[in-house]
Amino acid sequence: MSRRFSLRSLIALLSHFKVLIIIMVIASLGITVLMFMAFTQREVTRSMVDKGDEEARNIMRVIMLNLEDHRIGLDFFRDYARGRYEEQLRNLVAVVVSQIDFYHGLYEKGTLSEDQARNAALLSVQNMRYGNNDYFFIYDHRNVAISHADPGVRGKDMSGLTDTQGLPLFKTMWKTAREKGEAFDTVWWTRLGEKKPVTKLVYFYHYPKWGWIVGTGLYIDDIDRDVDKKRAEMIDVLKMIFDQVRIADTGYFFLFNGQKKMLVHPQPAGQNGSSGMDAAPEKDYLGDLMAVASGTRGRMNHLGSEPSHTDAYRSGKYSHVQHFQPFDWYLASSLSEKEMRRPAQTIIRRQALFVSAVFICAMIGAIVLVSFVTRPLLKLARHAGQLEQADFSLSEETTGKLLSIRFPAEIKNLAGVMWNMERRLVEYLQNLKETTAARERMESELRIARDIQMSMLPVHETALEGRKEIELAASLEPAREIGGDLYDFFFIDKDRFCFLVGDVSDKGVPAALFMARSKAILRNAVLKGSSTPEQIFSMANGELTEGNEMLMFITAFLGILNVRTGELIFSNAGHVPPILLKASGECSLLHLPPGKPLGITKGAQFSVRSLHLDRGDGLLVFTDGITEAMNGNDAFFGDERLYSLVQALSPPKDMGTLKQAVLKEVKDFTGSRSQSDDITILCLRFAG
Amino acid sequence: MDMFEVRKEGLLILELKGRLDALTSPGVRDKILTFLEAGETNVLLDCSGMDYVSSAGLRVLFEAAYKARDLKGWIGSYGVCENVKKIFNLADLSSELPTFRTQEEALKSR
Repeated sequence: MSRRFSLRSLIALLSHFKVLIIIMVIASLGITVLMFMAFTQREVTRSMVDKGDEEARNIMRVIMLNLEDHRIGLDFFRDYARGRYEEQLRNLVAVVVSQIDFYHGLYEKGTLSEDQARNAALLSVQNMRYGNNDYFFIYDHRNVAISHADPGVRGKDMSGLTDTQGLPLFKTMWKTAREKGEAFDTVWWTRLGEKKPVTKLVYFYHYPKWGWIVGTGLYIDDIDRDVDKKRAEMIDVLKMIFDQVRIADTGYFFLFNGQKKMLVHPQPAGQNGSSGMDAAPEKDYLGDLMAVASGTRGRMNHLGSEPSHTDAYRSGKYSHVQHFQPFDWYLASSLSEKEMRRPAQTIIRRQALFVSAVFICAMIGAIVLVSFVTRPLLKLARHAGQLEQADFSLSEETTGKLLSIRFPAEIKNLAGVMWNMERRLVEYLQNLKETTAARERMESELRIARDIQMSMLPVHETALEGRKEIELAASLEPAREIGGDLYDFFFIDKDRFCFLVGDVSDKGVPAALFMARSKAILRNAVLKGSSTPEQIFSMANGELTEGNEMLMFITAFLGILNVRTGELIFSNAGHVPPILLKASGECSLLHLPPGKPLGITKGAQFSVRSLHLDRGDGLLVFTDGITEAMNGNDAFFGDERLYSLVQALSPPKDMGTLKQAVLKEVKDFTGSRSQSDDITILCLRFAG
Repeated sequence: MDMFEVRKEGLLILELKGRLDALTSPGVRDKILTFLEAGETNVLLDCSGMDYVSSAGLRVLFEAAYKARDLKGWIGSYGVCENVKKIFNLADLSSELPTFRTQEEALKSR
């Protein structure tokens, strides 16, 4: 029950303008904010992660460039060092060659035989030493060391020698030496008095006069040593850089070589070559990275640990990796997904705070605004509500007061409209009061007029003076309060009974006035001595035409019945013919002479007819309000219907019954349709 | 009630169609009197379409007849149906407003 009640009260609350507007504002703001937040979250996260990624890639690119730079420096250094050694070798061998040339010259001059000269040359070269116990050697075309400082090599065929790259030394050497006169190569060679072979740069000079190769070599392991030193320096520099560089909070770079040996790693855990925090120890992390580096993406997702839980490998991480071919080095990064997203989350959190603040401000603003909008409306509504019970003389002030309040323009318009409406209402009510009063007055006057008109009609008892010779029933029903029909009957003298039915050519007040006048004039004509119908009509016509500018007229039927003899004389003034009811039950229309209606034709002449009535004969005199009564289909009651009705009832029991039957039939015919004309009926029977 | 006007041989022929009763007679009265006062004092009423005349209608016809007479004009009617003719006769309107059977008869008799 209480729930139902609360639901109803909630619905009632919702029907308030104010609440609806506020809810709409909240809803639209809320939806906007949520959509905005969702969109921003996605976009910002993506762009922030992309940016972090890009940063990591950029740093890697810079490091790679740095490595490349170093490589170029090292290559240059190596080439330069070797070039200097080559020059030195060339110079040294040039001295030796000049010595050999000296002996060859002695042979040419004939001072020595060729063998003597050759052996002297070989011997002198064999004993030459320079530098750090370095020496010269001579090979003949059979690759036999015909002169060498090492007695173990001297005299041996050295064709099996290979260079540092494992290629046959002499094969390419001879080819180059014959073409260019000299050749260089590197070999692994053991120093005199040492066991371990080291890199040696060897120079070969072709001495074509005796088909010899004269050469010497210099141990160039010092170059490699220098290069390694420089490389170590570079690694130290990278170590410093890698210690400094961080992507997000804990993202870092590290460097390892193709033998999975860690070269640089900023974390102590990673320096010993293990995968550190980036992958569980059992995983071949570096191997995986190497595999990825050969692919196109250069990126790998994996699970690593957090600084706070170094033994649990559950955090999402990812690594970029690039292979530096010249050194067979791999540069890799280790980034935490969570950290990469953190800046985005920070931005979104701040944004959410800001948006919430704006939201709250907007809410307050909306409530204030809505109140501002609805308060005047409420005031107007309250005022309009009070109007219901208000005394209108007071309302002018109050609405006037409302108008003076500072409302928004629309509300002011509304107030103005209400104010006008109220004034109009007041005016209207006053008018209504006045017209109602006037109407009531008129209606009461009309009621009085009707009473007066009805009182002008004769009353049976007094008019018939208790005489039994006449049976009579008459009634008049005006279409409006008062009408233009009339009937009258009275005894002119002891024997003569005068009766008449008239119909003024109009309805309402003008007709009623004319009717009153006509009735008085017709009676007056009898009093003045007119004793026949045509005399009465002529006299009345004369008076009624006087000053009748409206040309109003009255049609009338007037008869005078001698109740002693049964002789009826009658005249017509444009009236509808009455129905003659014979005692036998026969009915017929009374044949009337033509006659002008009274009041329009000066000096009109009327003719008179006479008829003998037997005992029980009667007349039904009426106005066209009966025959021309209309029903809902615009059909007339008609002469025929009246005639057959009267025929059916003949001979009637009494005149009252006949009258009531006719009136009832007319009423049934017209139904709900309002009466269109005055209805008068007069039924008379001679009972003498 | 509808009214149509035709002019023929110096005569204004007014065709009255429908009921001439308390409701329609003020309009007919105004129209006929306007024509008469405007100088068209020779009028022939075509009553062949008029199926009913009330006492108010009679009054208009009487008024028109007297007005035409006062203005030294002429007024007549033709094609009056039996019902209406009975009313005309009862009110002795025929002596003020001659009625003819047809238009030709009316035109000839003038």
